[in-house]
Amino acid sequence: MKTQSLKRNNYFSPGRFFLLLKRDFLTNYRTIIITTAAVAGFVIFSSSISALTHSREEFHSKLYFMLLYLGGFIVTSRAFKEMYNSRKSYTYVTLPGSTLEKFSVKLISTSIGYVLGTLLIYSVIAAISEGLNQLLFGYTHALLSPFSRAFLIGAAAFLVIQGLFLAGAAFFKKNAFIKTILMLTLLAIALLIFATFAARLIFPGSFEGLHQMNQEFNSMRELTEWLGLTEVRLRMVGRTIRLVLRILFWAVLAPLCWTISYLKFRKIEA
Amino acid sequence: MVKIKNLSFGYGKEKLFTALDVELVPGNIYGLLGRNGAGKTTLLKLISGLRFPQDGECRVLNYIPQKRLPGMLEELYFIPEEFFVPPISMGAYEKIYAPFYPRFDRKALADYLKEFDLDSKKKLTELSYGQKKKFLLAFGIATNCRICLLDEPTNGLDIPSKSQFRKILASALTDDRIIFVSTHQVRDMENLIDPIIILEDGQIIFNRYIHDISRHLIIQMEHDPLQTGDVLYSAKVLGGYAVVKKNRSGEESRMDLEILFNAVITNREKINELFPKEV
Repeated sequence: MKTQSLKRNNYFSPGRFFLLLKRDFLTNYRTIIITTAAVAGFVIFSSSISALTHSREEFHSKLYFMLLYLGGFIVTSRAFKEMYNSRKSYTYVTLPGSTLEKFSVKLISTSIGYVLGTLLIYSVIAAISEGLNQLLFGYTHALLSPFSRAFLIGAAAFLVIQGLFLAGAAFFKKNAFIKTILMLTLLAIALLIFATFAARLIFPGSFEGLHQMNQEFNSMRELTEWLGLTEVRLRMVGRTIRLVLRILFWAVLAPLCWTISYLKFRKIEA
Repeated sequence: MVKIKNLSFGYGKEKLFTALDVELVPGNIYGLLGRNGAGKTTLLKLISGLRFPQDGECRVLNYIPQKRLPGMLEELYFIPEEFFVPPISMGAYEKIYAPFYPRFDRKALADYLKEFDLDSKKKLTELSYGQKKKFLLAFGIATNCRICLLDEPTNGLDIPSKSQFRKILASALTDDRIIFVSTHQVRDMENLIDPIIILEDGQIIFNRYIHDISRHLIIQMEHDPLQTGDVLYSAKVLGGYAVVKKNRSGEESRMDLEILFNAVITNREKINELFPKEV
């Protein structure tokens, strides 16, 4: 019984998980405070400028998402920096905690933890800045509405795309943020080239003399005739492609990135 | 407790260890000696799971270090030569890191800090290199881990701190504990490290207890080493030559680790021939 409990504890223990989370927070809280102060200054300043010119009702939701995405991807790209720093890595690697616990701490603090943390901090900053705007200019912007559909979809999309940056953080020793963006750009170009070739293979006749013609499709029928498909079939292909892409984005991409990141994280040597 | 068998490791194409074998048993402060680049730090990293063997086996407390399981890590503390300390006080460091070690002794840490003349309220980043090192040594020993790996622990320590460190280390050794010290500062560790392990050309070329060494070898001063027979190694020192010879009397003699190291490096076959079997 004792051996079984020891074996189980070697992979995941909530106690150790919270100790690791606490360690990450306490050793980084100065950075968090300084960043928060800088963001607060920026939000209050830009909000007052916007209030002065009476522009944009959705000021806070747009600024929040800009900060969430940009800041979140930068923070995520730095998630495993400690592992790649020869002077810091020994403490982290030899700290009694399993690889799964250490990885979970990094994943949660850079994904859902980051969303909730920034939402809380930003809401407080926005409330202060709008209080000031009301006092100074008699004009306020709408505050964040975290339960709106747009907010929830935006936050969920961040959690998915964040996985790509987490994988980048695990694979790139230095400048992970820039390298991840570069890799994603190259991947997009490669996918575009692949899609073009695939389309040419699937619909070989449709590309004959394409560069010479000035084709405009005024109706679905014209398009289906040109492609040599029935309208029903074309709509079905379109729906299937959309469904597959949605499943890949919302259900496959993030878990795939987390798994790849975890497998790489296990193998990082210090 | 630490068992390395047939281990191979290298950086890139360059092999550092090929078929390395060594076993460490509890109740000893092992001294790991070797030239620059011999692989002392790498060996400590392999034991602590920071580096992964390319071939062969390494087991620590029956765990495979590269799996980095908490069961092993709770019993292993590694202090490298180059380290980082977070910008927090020693007290805060203790609060954050001590709960990870089930047998951490807070009273012992307080005693060690007092011995090293360190104030736990001070921020780690405000300390000198030597003071930071003393704090990490005190913390590492207070964890009560069964395996302590120390890489050049006396580098950066002032003269009083070196003797305080020796005193603390000697008192921290228990029957179930291994302290593995990699060092160039052999004089700092004399009368403390035993057995002596010498690493050269990717192999353990010497692994003996001090009493075994001094029963088989004798180091004495001579005016002219050429006039005496059985000389395994000689080095010119102030007032003559320090000569390493076969101990024919059987009486244990005082060991000079620096002379011993040089003797083993220059004449390993003949020296090893004098010993019946390895520890």
